[in-house]
Amino acid sequence: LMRPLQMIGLCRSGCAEEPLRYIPPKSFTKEQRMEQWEYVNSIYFGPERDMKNFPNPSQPESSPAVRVGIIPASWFNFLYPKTGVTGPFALGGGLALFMLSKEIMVIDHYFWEIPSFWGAVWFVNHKFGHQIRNYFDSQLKLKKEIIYSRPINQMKANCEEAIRFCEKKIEETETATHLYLAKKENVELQLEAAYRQRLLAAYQEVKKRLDYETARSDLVRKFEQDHMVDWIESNVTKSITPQQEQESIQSCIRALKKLAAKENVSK
Amino acid sequence: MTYEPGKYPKEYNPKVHGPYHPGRYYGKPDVPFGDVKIGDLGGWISRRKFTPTAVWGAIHRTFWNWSGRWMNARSPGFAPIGHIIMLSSAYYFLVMYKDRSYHRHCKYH
Repeated sequence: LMRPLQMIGLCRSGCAEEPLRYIPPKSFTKEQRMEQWEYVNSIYFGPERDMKNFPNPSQPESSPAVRVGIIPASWFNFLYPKTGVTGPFALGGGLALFMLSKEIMVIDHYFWEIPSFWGAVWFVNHKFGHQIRNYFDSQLKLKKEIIYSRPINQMKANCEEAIRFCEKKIEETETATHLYLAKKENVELQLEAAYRQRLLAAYQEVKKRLDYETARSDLVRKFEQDHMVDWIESNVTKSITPQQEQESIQSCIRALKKLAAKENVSK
Repeated sequence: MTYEPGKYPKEYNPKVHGPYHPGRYYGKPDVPFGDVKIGDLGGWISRRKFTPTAVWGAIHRTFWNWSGRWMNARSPGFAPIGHIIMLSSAYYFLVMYKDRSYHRHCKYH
């Protein structure tokens, strides 16, 4: 028992237990189809297209309105201004009478095919018309859903889900920038600390060497000075002769006496 | 309009006319029959072509237009089947008329 779509040959056969899933015929890749679509669109709906005289053909929703089952209502409307409502019926009846009178349509045993056939048609429509219409409509709806609505809606849902997933991932990875900055700052601080340490060490080394040089030169100068002072002092004391010593003592005594005399006077 | 079986008509240009529709006339447009003035009727008829390919083209276009309106609608109904039945009945009536009117020559019929 083949399913309707397979009967029409629109889809490849699936296995018997598979539910009604639409399997499109495998002919072109998605990119090829898109390319073809764009190319055809550029030709059919390009700038030269005459849309006024040759509009795009489309499928009507239903066949035009009919009277008495098969006669288009437009024929009735065409005669309405001249003959009113009963015009077309009078025309049909008159035509039938004319054919009978001229023996074009004879009431022989072939004649009864017409009323019996159309009576049967009317009867079937009366009893099962709604059922048949509903059945075909449901089949059409099912076909449209399987071929058109379901794949497109599924694709839309999948795309929306993918978008939400990506947004969630973006939100989750927002912290990565801050983490990077924090780590960068950390490393910069470490570098700064190392730099300052080394700067201090260099300064201390240089100061040590300079202190050494100054201390050394100070020491040398001090030693020279002390030595020179001692040498001068020793030479001077050596050069003092006894006579000079006596003379100096005498002059000191005289000075003292003068001072004593002054002081006695001032008192 | 040229009609070649299995090929597009020569006057059909997809860039101007869009997708091919077998029910459309792609030749030089003329006044529709409903708008023809009585005085111009002779000229209008003389402009029609009655070659076999043109006649076949007219039948082809009529069929496709009828089919597009009635049979290939989304949910057609019984009317197009009724049309087919009535047209085939009329055709066979015409074909069988000679046989069916044979009885007239009899005295009692």
